[in-house]
Amino acid sequence: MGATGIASAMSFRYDIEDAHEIDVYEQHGGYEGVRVALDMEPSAIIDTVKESGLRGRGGAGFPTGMKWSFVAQDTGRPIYIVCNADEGEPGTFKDRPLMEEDPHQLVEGMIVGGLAINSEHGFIYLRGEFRHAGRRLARAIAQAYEKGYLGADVMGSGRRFDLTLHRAAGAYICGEETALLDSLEGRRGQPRLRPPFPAAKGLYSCPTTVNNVESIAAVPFILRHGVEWWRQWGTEKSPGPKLMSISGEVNAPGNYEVALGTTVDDMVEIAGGMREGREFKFFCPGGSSTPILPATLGGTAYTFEDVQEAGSLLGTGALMIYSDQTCVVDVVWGWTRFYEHESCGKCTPCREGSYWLSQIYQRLETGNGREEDLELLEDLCDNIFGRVFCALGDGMTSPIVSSLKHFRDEYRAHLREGRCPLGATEPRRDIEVTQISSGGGYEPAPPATPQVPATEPAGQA
Amino acid sequence: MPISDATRADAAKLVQRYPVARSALLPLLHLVMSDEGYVSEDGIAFCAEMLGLTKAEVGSVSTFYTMYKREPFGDYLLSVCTNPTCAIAGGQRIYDSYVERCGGSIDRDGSGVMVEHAECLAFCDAAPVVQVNYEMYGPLEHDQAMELLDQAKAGDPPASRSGEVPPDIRSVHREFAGMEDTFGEHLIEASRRQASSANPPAYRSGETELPVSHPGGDPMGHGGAAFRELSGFGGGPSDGFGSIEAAVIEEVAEGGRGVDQQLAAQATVDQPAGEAPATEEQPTSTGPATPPEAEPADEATDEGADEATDEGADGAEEA
Repeated sequence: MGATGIASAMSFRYDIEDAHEIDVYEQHGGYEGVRVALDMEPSAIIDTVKESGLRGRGGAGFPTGMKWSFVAQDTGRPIYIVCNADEGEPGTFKDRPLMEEDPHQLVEGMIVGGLAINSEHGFIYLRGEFRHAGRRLARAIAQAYEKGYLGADVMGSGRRFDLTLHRAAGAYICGEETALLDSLEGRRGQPRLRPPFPAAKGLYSCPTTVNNVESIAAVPFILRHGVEWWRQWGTEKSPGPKLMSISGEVNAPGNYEVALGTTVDDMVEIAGGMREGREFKFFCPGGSSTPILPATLGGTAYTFEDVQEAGSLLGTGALMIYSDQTCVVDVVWGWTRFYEHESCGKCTPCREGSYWLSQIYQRLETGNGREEDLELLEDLCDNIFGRVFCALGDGMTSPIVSSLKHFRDEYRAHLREGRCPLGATEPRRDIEVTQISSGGGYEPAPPATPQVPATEPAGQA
Repeated sequence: MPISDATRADAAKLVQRYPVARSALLPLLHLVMSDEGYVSEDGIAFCAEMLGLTKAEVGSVSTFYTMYKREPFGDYLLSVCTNPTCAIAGGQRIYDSYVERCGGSIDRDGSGVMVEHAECLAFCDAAPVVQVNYEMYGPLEHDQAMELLDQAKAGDPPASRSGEVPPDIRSVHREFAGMEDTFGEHLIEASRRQASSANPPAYRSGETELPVSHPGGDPMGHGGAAFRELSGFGGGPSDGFGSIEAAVIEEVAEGGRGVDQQLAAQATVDQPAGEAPATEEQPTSTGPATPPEAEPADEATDEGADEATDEGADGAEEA
């Protein structure tokens, strides 16, 4: 196993003044990756990325080199490389700093990716709300065009590569790759049924690869420094450094670059330790779509395989740390409202399920919960997970199912006490079982008492 | 609110930046926001006209994305993150106080503000965060957040974390539309090349997979221009498809299919054998690329829609 702890690889230019300007960037090794790539066959670039073991940094952890090798080369149609810069997973803030502090890193990665898959046109699909990142990227692209690193003749090689910066308009679902492609085509961002996969028919029905910002930005480093350099961090199956977004109730939340394989407890220390008077209670290892884990599992090494064995996923590397003063039910309710708001509405289980899940959480957290609600939550989640087009629905169920597994007692305390034991939410007595005024096939029950309500709603017996 | 001529000229440039015109819809809606300060019925009609879409199609897109506002509100938009990490740190309280002080989500006093709750703004290390016209502020004490609201109402917000004083919402959306990007000409050239190449990208939709240069493909974009140039129909790029007689379209469509079939046959011959990577995870991408015409089953029905008058109708009768 390679080194663990703090790493300084992909983020090493963050502290260099004006690293977002092309001259400064080039003084620090910038665009060397493109020069290396221009001397390589496309297949050799892909092989190098495969050997490095780089796994996608956007959530699914799919090997980047393998993904590139899938791109159909024989359709005759243009091939597109699309960068997913629609960072929106709650708790994730690693791509935004990269694009703000070191935008050329992404531009360079896009050029190299384009060379690897024989693409002549790339798109950066940027989250609309990232105004500052958008300004920096636009400037970086303009500078790269001026220098001849983009355009008809990349560095005099005769290869063409153009780069479009496309600013989106606020929809979390567009972080899902097929929804992103639909959005880029000027449609509502709703996921597509696969197959066909984007590698065969993606943007404009042409072969397309969609990669996360961090994955793309890592490739020039790997080409420049070699596979061994990359593998000095992390483990056999999870090599490399990782840009971590550590947030929550720690003293120094922030963006840290850490070697994969570092334990969660160590990362809490890296982020300054728990805030005074607060004890580490639970964490979310990779953004709100990954199952939460109790602090007792804090010794887990942060790798794809170990976190999976512990019952969760690495996701985007958004480590959220919560203390004993935070109510699990309240936090999960917050995420559930997020999914309710962001569900694109295409699949019924996700669209309707998120609404009902939210309703149940509201009554649990305000002290109106019913005994059977816990099983109802699990039943609803079971009817969403795996029954929807994309990972949004699946992700919605992760914190719910995992919190019920690890913190069922806390849910029960809400039922028993008729309020949030930690006082995160004021108890209310005006909540009806459902807020739908008519229809829905679910008769509104009279305002519930703190204990189990006297009347069961229709259809529940 | 009628769309200005200047906006019209800007929009024509934006449309040209993409291989398929419809891709410009999100930027066009940003442009409408910059012209009107919100997206009105006129703005929707304008986008529909520019892209050859129906107003319903544009409306369905504009209502899907949260950054397009449907009523005028003034110059500043305050977005308060209320996701758990920010909510715990005081974001929810900030939002509630904002709504209380504004008497709702819009307060037209002074320069006019809209208050909204936002989903995770990817600034969790600065929780709680508030954006003013998409510039980030945080971590904010409750009092600081209230002061920020007052400053926005007065039209005088302070510099954000990036050091930038947020301009009014119209300027910000003009930037989002890509109007400030200086490399647009390169993109126009790249898009034109792709759309007018022998094997151009397709205009994807639920029903058809026509190449953009097909008369039914992408009349408002480069593909339509390439078609008009080849066929000798129509005027400039914005002249559109509506001016061409239906009978002529039928005729050319027949010819267009012929070309497709030739290309399809060619593609089948040209396939390098054994090039496709053989892996289990993504079966569809591994096989040799199949041109639309030769697609079995599911794709065949898609093509049927295009051929409804002859083969498609026959097929339906048989079924």
